[in-house]
Amino acid sequence: MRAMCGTEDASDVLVSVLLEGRGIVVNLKSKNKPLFGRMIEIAVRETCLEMNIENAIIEVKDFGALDFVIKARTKTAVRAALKQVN
Amino acid sequence: MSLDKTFPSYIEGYGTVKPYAGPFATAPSAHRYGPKLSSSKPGDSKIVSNLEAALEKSGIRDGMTISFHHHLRNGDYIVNMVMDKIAEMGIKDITICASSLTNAHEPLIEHIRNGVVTGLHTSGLRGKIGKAQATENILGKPVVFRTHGGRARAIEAGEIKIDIAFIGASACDPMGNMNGVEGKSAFGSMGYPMVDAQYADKVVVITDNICPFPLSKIAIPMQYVDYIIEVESIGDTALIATGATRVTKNPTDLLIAKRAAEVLVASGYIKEGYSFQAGSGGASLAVCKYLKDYMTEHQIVGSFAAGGVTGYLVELLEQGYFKALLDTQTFDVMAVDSIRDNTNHIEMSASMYANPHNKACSAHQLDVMILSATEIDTQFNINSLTGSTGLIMGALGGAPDTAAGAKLTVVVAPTMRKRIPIVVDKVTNIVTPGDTVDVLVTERGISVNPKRQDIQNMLDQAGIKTLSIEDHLKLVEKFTGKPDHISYTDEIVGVVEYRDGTVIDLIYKVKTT
Repeated sequence: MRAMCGTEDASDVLVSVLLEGRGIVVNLKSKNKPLFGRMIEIAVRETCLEMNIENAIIEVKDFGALDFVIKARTKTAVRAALKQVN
Repeated sequence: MSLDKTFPSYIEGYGTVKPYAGPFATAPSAHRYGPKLSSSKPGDSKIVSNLEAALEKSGIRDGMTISFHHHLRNGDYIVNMVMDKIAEMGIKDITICASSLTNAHEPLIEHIRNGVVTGLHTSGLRGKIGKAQATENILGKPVVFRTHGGRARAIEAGEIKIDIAFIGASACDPMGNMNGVEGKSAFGSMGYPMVDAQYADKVVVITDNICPFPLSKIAIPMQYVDYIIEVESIGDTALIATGATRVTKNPTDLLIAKRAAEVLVASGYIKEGYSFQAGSGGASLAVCKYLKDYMTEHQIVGSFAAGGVTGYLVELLEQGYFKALLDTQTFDVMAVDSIRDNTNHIEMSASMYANPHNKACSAHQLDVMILSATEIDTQFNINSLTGSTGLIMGALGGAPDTAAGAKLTVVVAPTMRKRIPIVVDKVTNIVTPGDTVDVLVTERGISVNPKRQDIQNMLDQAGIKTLSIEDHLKLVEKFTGKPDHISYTDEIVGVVEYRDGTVIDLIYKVKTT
């Protein structure tokens, strides 16, 4: 099951995590993709690295969130996913 | 001052490019354009049974330029009504010269794709049309963007010749005397078509309210009108004029407005008889709220407030804070009532408002102008037309006109909107040149254009903290990060004219992957 964190409000991000597959797959949807897509993906991957997550499919629906918001939402979603596994 | 940009000397579909050279550097030398003479006889009738007949009588044919005004805003039925009929009649290759276009005009996309419309001159473009032009160049040539003053100037100079002007009127008599303040579809000032009516070869009035001759309140008189058609409705009344515009409750906007008011007071411009204009959105209008308190405390009465007039400005007029309102475009029901009933609420044409090439305009009489911005860069250039992703999604409006005219121009804006920084290294497109912009106020700080050392000194004396625009940018990028660059093709999809008819920027087609 997917674990989610965040909202679809302006300046927020909705992150859902599935601890499956091989490696980290980030699927990003954002109006800001041409401007910040690269950075958003880096923020998500850095968070996974910090949490020692090696395999995950992560859906990111971004509504203009700043990096610290993206990291926090990702972290909480990953934690929730880990709880489900354990 | 000139810009550090180079433009081609000739642009296909636009013509010869005269580059921007400074806010008042380019003077006109030609004579004013004159439309064809007409004549009338006793017993003439102008009322035509339907739109098709009016188009035929006006001599509509392929390749003509026709004009519209956007006072009916999102409720407008006129543009679509006329364009659908023109398309149905099999006419092609029409250039539209509109004072602006709104979301109500999205059906134009089909007329563009079908070759009915092949030219577009406007102050703004939004929604689907803006996106389609920026990413696909659906027109196949650049849209010409003009300021409200620049449009009046271009028409008077004959740089754009209107074959037929279509004017929506909420009240009109059988000879064509008209206004926009009476009737079920009342929208207020007729500032934009006042110019069109005088310079178009043919003028067609579309109204849903024919009144007995003579109409008592006349915005545009009969001597300019050829034909009149009566329709059931010229627009959706709920969308023409909304309820009274209220000052924002957004705490960020209020903080910015409060700081901007402090800057205005410290700059010494808020004194007896001062004049003022502000945009109608976000923090701009809220600045009035804080100025009002200061004016009460120091018993200051201003001379005039101007622009797009909202109910909030009407309250200031009625409560005696300003002696008069000068109005080219009326924004809400309360302001429509006011312009109809209050003799100190004065209707003015776009030329009287902001044309730099006539003998005086109200924009040049301003002490203080408050502007908002989509982007502002370290040269204080403002963009209000294109988004940071290169899409066309805004308008020039009267910003370049009023910024050039006002003694003090203050930009109020949040530092970011949904991560997109407002303070940037270089704006996507220059609309209002930094030469004419004095102060930036955001929720994180105040920056003064180094050209205005006098203002900097006044703020320093008043103990108001400021930071350089470069530090302002660094502060913002600490939160947002530095955005990646958007890629463009070399296809020009828009020409941004400065108010004097020079070219200040070009919009290129966005590269989509």
